Amino acid sequence: MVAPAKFVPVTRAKNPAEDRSGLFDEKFLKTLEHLHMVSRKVFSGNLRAERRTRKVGSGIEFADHRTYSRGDDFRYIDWNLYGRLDKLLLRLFEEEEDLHIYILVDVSDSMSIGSPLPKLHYAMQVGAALTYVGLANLDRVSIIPFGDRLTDRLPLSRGKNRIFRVFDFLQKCPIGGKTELAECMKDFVTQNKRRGLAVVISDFYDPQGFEQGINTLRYYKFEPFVLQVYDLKEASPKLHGDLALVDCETGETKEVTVSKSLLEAYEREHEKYCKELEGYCTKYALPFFRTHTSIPFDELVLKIFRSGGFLR
Amino acid sequence: MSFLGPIGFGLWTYVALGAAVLAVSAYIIKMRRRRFEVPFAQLWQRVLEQKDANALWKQLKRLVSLLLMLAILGILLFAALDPTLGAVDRKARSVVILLDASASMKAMDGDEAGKKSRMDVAKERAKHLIDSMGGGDVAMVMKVDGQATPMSRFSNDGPMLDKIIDDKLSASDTPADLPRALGAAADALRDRTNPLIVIVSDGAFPESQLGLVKWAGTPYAPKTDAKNLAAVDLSNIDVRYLPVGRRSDNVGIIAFNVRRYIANKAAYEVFIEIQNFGQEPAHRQLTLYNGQTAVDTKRLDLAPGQHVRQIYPKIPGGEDNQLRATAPIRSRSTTPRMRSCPRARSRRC
Repeated sequence: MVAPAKFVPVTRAKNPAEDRSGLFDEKFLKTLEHLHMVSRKVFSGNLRAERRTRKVGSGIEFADHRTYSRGDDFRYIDWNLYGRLDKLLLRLFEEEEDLHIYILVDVSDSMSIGSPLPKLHYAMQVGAALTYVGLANLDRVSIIPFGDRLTDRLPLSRGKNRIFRVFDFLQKCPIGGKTELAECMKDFVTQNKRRGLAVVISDFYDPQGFEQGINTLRYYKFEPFVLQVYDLKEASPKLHGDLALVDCETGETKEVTVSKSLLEAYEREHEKYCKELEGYCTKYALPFFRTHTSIPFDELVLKIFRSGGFLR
Repeated sequence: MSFLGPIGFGLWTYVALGAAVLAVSAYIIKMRRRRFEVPFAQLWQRVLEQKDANALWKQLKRLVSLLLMLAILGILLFAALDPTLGAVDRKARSVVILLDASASMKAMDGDEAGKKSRMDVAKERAKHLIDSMGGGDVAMVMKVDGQATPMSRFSNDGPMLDKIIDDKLSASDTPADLPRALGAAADALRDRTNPLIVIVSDGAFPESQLGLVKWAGTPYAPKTDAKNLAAVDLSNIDVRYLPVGRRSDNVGIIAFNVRRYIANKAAYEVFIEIQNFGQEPAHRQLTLYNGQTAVDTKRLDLAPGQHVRQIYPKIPGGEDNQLRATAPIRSRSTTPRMRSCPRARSRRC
């Protein structure tokens, strides 16, 4: 007989997700190092800290020609073509720039739920791991927690030695609030003009829907990377009897008499919601991963690396 | 309707009100649902929208359950008052049930089909009587045959008394000693409130025994002028009679004795006593069998209550050493409605 799930009572004295002191311990660091080693094998052959873009600029890979105009650098004039065609044409090269990775971590109240590990802690561990690999690859990584607004930000950093700053930031950043993905993404694209990879780690429990927020990223030419985190007990709750279910973010109360059929219907509805998110990402060719907190975070990160969706 | 319960109506009202308040309070407490935090109530909302087709019933269900609970509580409390239809106010009674277990109770005329004995019917009547006892009533079952044997103490445990009646009572081969039984019952009922004696019997008692009872003052007193110093005093005791069986010839062999001669060990002397217990003259054919062979037969005309003693001298021993006497109804006196209980006695030599 399965014991009923012990949901966190509404009148809890303290948010269990607040305590993040033991989130990045020695064991976590060892796991990160292991992930880094593995990622080097996975990404071998790629140029470090160089990412081809559609921009033309000062790279070494030839991109195109254009007509010389006054003031252009003589060094880029293609003299061979001048000899053949008697035209001054300028050689253009592909711009090679650092990859900008934005780790957007949902820190709303819904992420504080989960046992034994709150979803927020799991999301932060995954975010820290991805950040570490990004930093180690000499990419520029920024961490931006969000709830109903962008609560704080870790500016773009580069280099492996910045990881402790990342840990400190994740342990101290404010958490809580509702999930308003659309507003937050709007603020994000406004504040960050440099496009790049936008890794969104969230449960995507937004009453307004997840589409608008992800669409905003797409419209502003970011590369959304969707990572949905959920807890097994919220997907298959073990409840019974007469209950007043309170939404931890909105405070909305639903009085229900939980029966077996109702639980089954809820499980179907939850699965349907997750499939909607997955279907949306598939439709727009966005990398999507769904994970629950029982899967070790390093396993998830390796799965992400192997799928090839992260760091091309 | 009257109420026989041990508590008064006033007290009952307070108890009922208290219980109702407790029940409603418990219901209200139960209605306060446990609160649980969920990450995304919108999913539950979607599920509930699909399941809300019978929302009206869901709302009514709580009210109906409260009303049902109160109704059950009311019924339980009402039962505690021990309501009785048609009964007047009376105090608890002490009842002695005298169950006739004499030989005549073996007669198979308890029902129309002749499948039940008088004893079977008497047991049913006694159990029915016990089942109808009120909350404060106590009863004692007494077996009445040649002796008066109390089979239980005064008790209000109906199932226990029923079990005693079923398991421990059976008709014997002796006549009932009514005066002794009534005397024992009167002794048992001494100093008890509302004493009541219920005699469950076929009524086949000798007139001589009826004369030993002082019936004066009882509603069922037979008309007799008998005066006896040893009479059982039943004054102030309610005596009731539950008849079983039907009126019929009641002739029985009440004594059968065989004795061997001292001088001649191969011969026997047989003594038979027959009595007519009925209210009408009876005619019988008394036959003595030695093994399967009838050795003597006699026509007997018995007046009501008459004893006849017969002695058969020098009866030789049979092959199976068994002597048997029968007294069936003679054919000429047999009528369809008079189904007697032919009594036969046998004695192995």
